[in-house]
Amino acid sequence: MEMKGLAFTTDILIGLSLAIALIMLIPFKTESSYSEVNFQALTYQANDFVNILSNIKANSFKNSPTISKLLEQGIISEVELNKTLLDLIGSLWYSGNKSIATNITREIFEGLTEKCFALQTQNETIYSSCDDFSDTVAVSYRIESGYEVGKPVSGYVARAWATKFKKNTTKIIPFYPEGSGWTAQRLEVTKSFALPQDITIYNATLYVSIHFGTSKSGAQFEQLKVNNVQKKDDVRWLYLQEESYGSEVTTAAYGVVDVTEEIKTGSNSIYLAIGTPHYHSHIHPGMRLIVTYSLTQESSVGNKTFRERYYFDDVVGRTGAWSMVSFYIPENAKNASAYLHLKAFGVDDTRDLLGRNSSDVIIYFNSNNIFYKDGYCSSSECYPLCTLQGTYYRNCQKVGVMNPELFLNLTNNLTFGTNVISVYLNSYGDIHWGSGEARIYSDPLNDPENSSYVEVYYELEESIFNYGEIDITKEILFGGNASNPKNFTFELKPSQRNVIEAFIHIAQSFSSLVNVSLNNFRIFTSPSLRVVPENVYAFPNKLVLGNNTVRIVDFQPGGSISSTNYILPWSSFEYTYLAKGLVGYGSVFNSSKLAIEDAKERLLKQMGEEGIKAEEIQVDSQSVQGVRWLWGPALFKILVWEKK
Amino acid sequence: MKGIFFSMIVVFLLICLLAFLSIQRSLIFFHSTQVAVESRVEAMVGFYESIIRDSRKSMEIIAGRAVCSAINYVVTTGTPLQSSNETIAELILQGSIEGEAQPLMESSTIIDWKQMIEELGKMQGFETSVEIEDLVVEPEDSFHISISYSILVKLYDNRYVTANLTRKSREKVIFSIENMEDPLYPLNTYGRIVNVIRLSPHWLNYSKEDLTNLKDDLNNSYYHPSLYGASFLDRLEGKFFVQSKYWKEKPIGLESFVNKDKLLSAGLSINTSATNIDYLYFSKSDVAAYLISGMPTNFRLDNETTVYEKTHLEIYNVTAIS
Repeated sequence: MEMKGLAFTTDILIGLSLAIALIMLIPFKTESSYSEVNFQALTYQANDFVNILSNIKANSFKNSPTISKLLEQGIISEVELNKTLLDLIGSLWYSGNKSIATNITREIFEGLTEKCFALQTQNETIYSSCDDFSDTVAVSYRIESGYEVGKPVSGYVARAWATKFKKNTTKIIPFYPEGSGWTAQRLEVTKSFALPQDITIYNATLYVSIHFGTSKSGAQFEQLKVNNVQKKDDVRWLYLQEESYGSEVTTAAYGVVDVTEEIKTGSNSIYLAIGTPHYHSHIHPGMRLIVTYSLTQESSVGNKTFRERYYFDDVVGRTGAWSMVSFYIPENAKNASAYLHLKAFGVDDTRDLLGRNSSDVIIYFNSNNIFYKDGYCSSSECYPLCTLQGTYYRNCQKVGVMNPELFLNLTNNLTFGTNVISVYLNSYGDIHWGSGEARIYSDPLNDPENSSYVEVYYELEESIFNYGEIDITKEILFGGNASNPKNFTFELKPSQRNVIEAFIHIAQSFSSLVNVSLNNFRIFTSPSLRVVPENVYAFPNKLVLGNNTVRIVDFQPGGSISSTNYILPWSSFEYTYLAKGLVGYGSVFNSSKLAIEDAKERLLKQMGEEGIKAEEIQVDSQSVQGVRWLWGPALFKILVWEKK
Repeated sequence: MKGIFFSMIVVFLLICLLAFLSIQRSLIFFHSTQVAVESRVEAMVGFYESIIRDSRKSMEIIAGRAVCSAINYVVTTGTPLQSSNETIAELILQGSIEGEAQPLMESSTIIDWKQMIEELGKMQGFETSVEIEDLVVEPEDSFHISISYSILVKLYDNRYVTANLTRKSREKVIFSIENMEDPLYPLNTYGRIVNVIRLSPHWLNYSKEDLTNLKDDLNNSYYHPSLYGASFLDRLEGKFFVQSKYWKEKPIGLESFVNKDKLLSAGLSINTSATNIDYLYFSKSDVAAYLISGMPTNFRLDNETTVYEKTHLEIYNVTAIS
């Protein structure tokens, strides 16, 4: 019985031992079968690896074989060692240095774990320590902006600017309406002007607009000398209009002559001598010289203060002399002032029937009212009260000859836009033309201080052009037929949006008074009879992109439209606009060279659109390195798994 | 009886064993579920941290392009910015200057980054919302600007487990202005002179006996920290001196030596008797300037105060001869 108890007890003890052993075994077996727990361990490791890559600077691994070699070879700089390991590996991988990125990754993790791991980005494996994956793979990831497959991580941008360039530009040198020669007596006009020395002249065209002769044959068209070269026989008459008033037959003529060979850099002069047997010879509106030339110019900044002299032409009339000079004041000018210096010779000093000093020098300025007179006037027209001799001459008592010199302040009568000053010496329109020689003296090249001129001063609040901008002047002829009124439509392109100056050059045969409008805005009305300036200032702020319309109407003092005073097709619109001579930073390139080439190309294209050729531009450039792309973000993954 | 007793003990022990096994299995199952939830939440936290980390990196990239765009605007138009810190902020956020889109900022604004992150969040199974607020640009020191911003991230996951994470933090990025163009030079030389901001390799290493370093600084117009000379942000505004709005306890200003020969060769007139310190030269400040022994005849240095409570003559360690 005792033996049985012992046997049972022993059985129980064995059974319990087995049960305990089983209990101890079962949990281990059961736990290891739950992959989540294993996965958690792998995840911890993957997270640790990602943290290593994204927190530790490359500097900590500068002694690793690959990084130290890259430093030695100068492929990476010390500065780049401030990047995190992930950033360095990413930069190298995405910039195409894949094997280097692989080696660095291997060297970082070598010996760190016995588990398998891989670094991947955008489905590409940068490095994997094992070939085969197991069933359970833990993944940890980091997002990193700035990377995209096949795209550079950073690059260069560049800008370029023209330091010197050659531009084609147009200069218009007007002849003012002026006279006079009466009944076969000669009118002589000399225009002296200077062109810049460092230019290449491509073309010089002289338009001649005169009132001469008694027939279309051009009688008394005596001289047209350009720098002493006779060109009168080379004039091609474009328009001849003969009018007769009883026995008076006279011709308005408009012609053109190519003077490219004669016009040169530096000093130039054009001499004109004309007359008309039975009437009054003078220059009509529209006579001008147009010079097209290329000019080498350095980039500069526009002025804010302007002082300019408008010289009279030298006019030697033999029945008195007169001239009307036009100039302009911009609409945004401040502190504008102007004065006239008039130097004249051979002016008859006369007395009227009552012994009063007649006005032999009469000046009008922007008005029908006399601005200056040197003697008595019987009326606003100011003709002398003397006995009539013939139709257009009054026999006054000549008491001497004057050489008047005047300084007149014009400031109070200035107007924004076009200003016209008319000087008459022994001339009273169709009432009385003088008898003797009178001269408005002007020799701006050799004797500028003693010449006759109007000096204008004004200030602008802002420069009309800033640095990097170049000014380009162009002229468009009206074309079409001679007519009155005449409308002219032209287009301003977007690149020409910044017009700083514009003029309308009126070409006419006979003229009376004119109204000039730009886009329905009146920009000029003749203040008195025959005041038709060669230059009418067109307010740039009235110009619009796209189509613009100029309308010129010649009208009689009573207001009716003149029936035979035509506006000729050789009238023109001249405008000066600003074009940019620089370009800013463009696209990001892989090298400084490429960025600079792109900047230069953009600049040349931009300036080429304004007629400036590539070989004529001197370019400077500046590049900026290390402009990074905001590619991505890319996803970097660390995968960790058990070895099989 | 004894046999029955022992058998009952065995049965009892077996029942205990089975109960233990059952409880243990339940515990392991519960633990596994917990692990899955934890993994997902950890992934969410990891994604959040990744966003914050990447926001700093992206901000650095975007700031670089914004600063380039701001410089580009100034040097191509010749017009200084009204408020450079606000303009840079506008560029970072919207890619524009006064509403006008800047080409260099195309697809490179913080809005572009935010959209990409939100898209990426979706791909990872998170409804993601990122907001950048209160962006402040200010000088950090002479050669760095700082960009600080608040970032609000909202993550929501209802695919695997229901969890959300909403956090707002204030981040700061320091951006180096080295290798950027100094806008003050083109603004004051009609766009003809370019100078790139580079810290002098000789800073605080000037010798009375050997002027090589000083001459090198002059020839290359290297930059030095300055107490009053305009900081980079001031320079974008065309200002010559540090403005009160940017003033900090530590020096944030910059100064370089104007190379008068370079100005001459660009066709610009120079003031030979004026100090070569750029902000004083360009501002035409009426300060006494001294000829320096051993330096070119058109080089002058003033004795105005600069960093470390020293004057220019002291910090550049030179002897004035007149």
